[in-house]
Amino acid sequence: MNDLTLRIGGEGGEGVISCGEILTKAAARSGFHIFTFRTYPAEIRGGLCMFQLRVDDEPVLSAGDKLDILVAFNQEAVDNYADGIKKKGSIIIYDPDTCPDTSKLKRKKCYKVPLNAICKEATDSIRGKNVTAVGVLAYLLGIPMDVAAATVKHQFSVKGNKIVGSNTLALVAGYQYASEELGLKRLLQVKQPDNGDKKSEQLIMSGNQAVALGALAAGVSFCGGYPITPATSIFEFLTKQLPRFGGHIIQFEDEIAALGACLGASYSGKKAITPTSGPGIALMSEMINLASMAELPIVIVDVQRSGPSTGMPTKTEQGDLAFAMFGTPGEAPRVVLAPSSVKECFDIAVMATNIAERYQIPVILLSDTSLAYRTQTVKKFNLKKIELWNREELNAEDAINFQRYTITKNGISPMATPGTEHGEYQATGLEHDEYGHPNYSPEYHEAMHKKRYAKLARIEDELKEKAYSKFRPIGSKIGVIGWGSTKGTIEEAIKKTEEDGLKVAHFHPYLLSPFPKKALKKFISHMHKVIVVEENFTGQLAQIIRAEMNIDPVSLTKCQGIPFSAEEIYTAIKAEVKK
Amino acid sequence: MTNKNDTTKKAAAKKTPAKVEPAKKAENNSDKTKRTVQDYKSGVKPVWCPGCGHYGALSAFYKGLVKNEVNPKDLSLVSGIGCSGRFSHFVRGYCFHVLHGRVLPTCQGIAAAAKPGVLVCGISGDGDALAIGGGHLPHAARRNPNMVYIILDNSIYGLTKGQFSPTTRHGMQTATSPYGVTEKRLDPLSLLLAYDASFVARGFSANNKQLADIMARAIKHRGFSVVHVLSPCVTFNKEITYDYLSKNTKELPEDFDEFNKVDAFKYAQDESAIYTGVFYHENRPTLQEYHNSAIETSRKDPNAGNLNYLINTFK
Repeated sequence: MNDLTLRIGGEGGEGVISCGEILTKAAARSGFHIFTFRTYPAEIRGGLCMFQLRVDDEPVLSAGDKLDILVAFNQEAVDNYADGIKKKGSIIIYDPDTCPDTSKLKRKKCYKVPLNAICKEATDSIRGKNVTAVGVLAYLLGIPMDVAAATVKHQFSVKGNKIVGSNTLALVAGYQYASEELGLKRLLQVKQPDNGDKKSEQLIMSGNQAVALGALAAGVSFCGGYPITPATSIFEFLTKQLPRFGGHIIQFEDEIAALGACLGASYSGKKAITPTSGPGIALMSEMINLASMAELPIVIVDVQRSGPSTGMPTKTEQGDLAFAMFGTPGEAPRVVLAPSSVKECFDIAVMATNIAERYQIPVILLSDTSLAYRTQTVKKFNLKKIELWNREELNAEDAINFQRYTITKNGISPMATPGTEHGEYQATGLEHDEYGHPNYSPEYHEAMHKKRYAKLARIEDELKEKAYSKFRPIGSKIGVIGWGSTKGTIEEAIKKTEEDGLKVAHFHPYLLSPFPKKALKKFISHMHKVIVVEENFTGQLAQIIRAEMNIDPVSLTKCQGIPFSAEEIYTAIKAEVKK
Repeated sequence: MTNKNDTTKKAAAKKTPAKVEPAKKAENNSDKTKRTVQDYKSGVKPVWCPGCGHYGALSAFYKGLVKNEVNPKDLSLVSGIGCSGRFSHFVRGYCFHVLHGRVLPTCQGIAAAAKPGVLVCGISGDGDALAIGGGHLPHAARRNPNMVYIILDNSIYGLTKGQFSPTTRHGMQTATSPYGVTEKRLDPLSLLLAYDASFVARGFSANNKQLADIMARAIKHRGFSVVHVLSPCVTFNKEITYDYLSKNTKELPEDFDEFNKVDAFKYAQDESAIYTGVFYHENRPTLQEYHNSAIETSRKDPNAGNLNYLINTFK
């Protein structure tokens, strides 16, 4: 067996997430490819919470569906997750002391592992029982003890030697118990990854971490933010790192102020970013319009969560697409980009900053909860290959009679920043002439609209194949179109259809505004049927495709706060084939 | 770099000859030490009603710039929405006319990010600063950004033609209070003192000499300097008139101790007169200074700023 999906479930605050994180890191360090998924209850403590880890010696496309291993810390986890295991070859590990009711476990292969008792015996406390579980699972996956121990040490080193010591004892106790009492290693027969040089090149991180690193790589040096689930970890990461890179970061009183300050920083010549989520970007909409009107570069990261309103803050959804693309009183051009994997979170954060700077336009990067919290192994980024685009600055030649908003064919006009000789100008949210002075004449309003929208015309051509990902096997007549975090799951579903002898194509745009019509037109010209997959209620991308491409695609939506499984998409494709 | 042969540009230029003569940038001599008020005029003619109090405020602001020998290239001026919002269009410098109520956030972004030596000023009206943007004021004061914030208070919404504002007298009839304003009047000075703004002053636009001195001092102060300007609206406010303000304003006594916050509160809340002058003044580290020290401290780590090192911590 080399593709394993395991889930740890328990009460929030019980160490479920840290158990998963340590195990994930140890697995990645031993050369496995990994993909994780987690759900938090909205409460700080309490409520059911789970961490799902899929390991493989090949790159992993999705979080997996049915479980090979379930580890239940409490009764609620048994009751909720026991039915999610695979019919064949799966096992459930539970603590008989905390999960007394076994009625759900009938006819399933179960192992009683008294995690609390093992931990208590080893450390005189049950606090490290999640690390005891790491020990049990590390043994089952064949992760070497020294790798697991080093990971535990790394995780707890900030808390001091005493905590490292007791957690190491908890780990060893779990590992030994599994090797002596369970002997499951042979049962699972986990194929060990071919280590080679993969180990040193592999990084393990979350989508949010990759976005933050991408912003640093792009040269972002200002961030104004306001904490909001699930974008907070980007903000927290940057609060620590930006000053270390000589940049500035301020926690503001609300999202309006956060973006307002970013525009001030951008006006001063700095690359600026603000991370937020649905309720935050709603407050920012007027500021996005100002950025469009005053032609200021800015990157807004919207880590989408379930809406509307406060919705389900810790659950995933792709519900902000229409808002990101069109959510504006008046007409204000903006660019919308959506990464679909952890690696792309890094790449597209760089791309978003580049486009914002070159085109002096607001760029919205749409991530979502499942992508933000998911961790994936990624090949180490090649920083030397990163190309940075900068804004066009005032040239000394133009210093006399400087027209900040001079009308050009591509819409881009040079910009000057405070402190620059001869560059003084007026930026304004009012309609204006080339100097930025208010001008309400019919000719100017139209000419300036043309200038601002001219920027969008070139972006698809400039990005070329970076604007989308495409898979079109010869002879394929059914095409799936998705956007954002669903890409790997769609790929996995398509692989499953290949086993049935089907040929299914896949188009996944990263660029959503301006809509990559040329590439999509070419793609759909080969298709008899197009299925649009997205995690929202009304099928927003399907509606846009209907309007922009003049076709009537099948809309496959899921709006439950949890991502699609490959099985669900596979079943839907099969159903469409039969029609 | 500019596309001089661009047809779109030509077309627009042909149809609409620029009505506004921009200031002659070529004449900006950065090495000139003695500047005059003329150096700070943008060339755009003010559009306020004749007699508007804002003219006096603008003139006092120009004088404050002259006194501080500010180079227009180093001036960044942000204004909000309302009659006061047009202020930035009349001043030469890097001016940014932003959204209603959002002057302070934008100013703080500029203050944190701009090149050293850039003077950041913000202009709001009473609605901009105290109604829609009122939530930003305490937080800006807490952060103490090195900037000047001027509140042009005419106690009425002028641009939308005469609705009541947060500083309109309780009971006054306006376009949106036909039976009289039911809310209590807000006291900007007391609020600013309570918010811990590090420089709090009030002037009257018709007392131009004092106001120009206050502006000059506000520009000089290192930290968040707020100047509350009583600026009559001659069109829509028939209560807060020049006559009323001339009779009711009074300069703070000469021996007033501007480092004493209790006294500042006393005079701010004294109902026998509307006092003008510098009410409070304190020196404390600015937002920029805190940022610089955070950058300095964090960069003591030899691995700080090394992206490759940071990425490797994810192995």
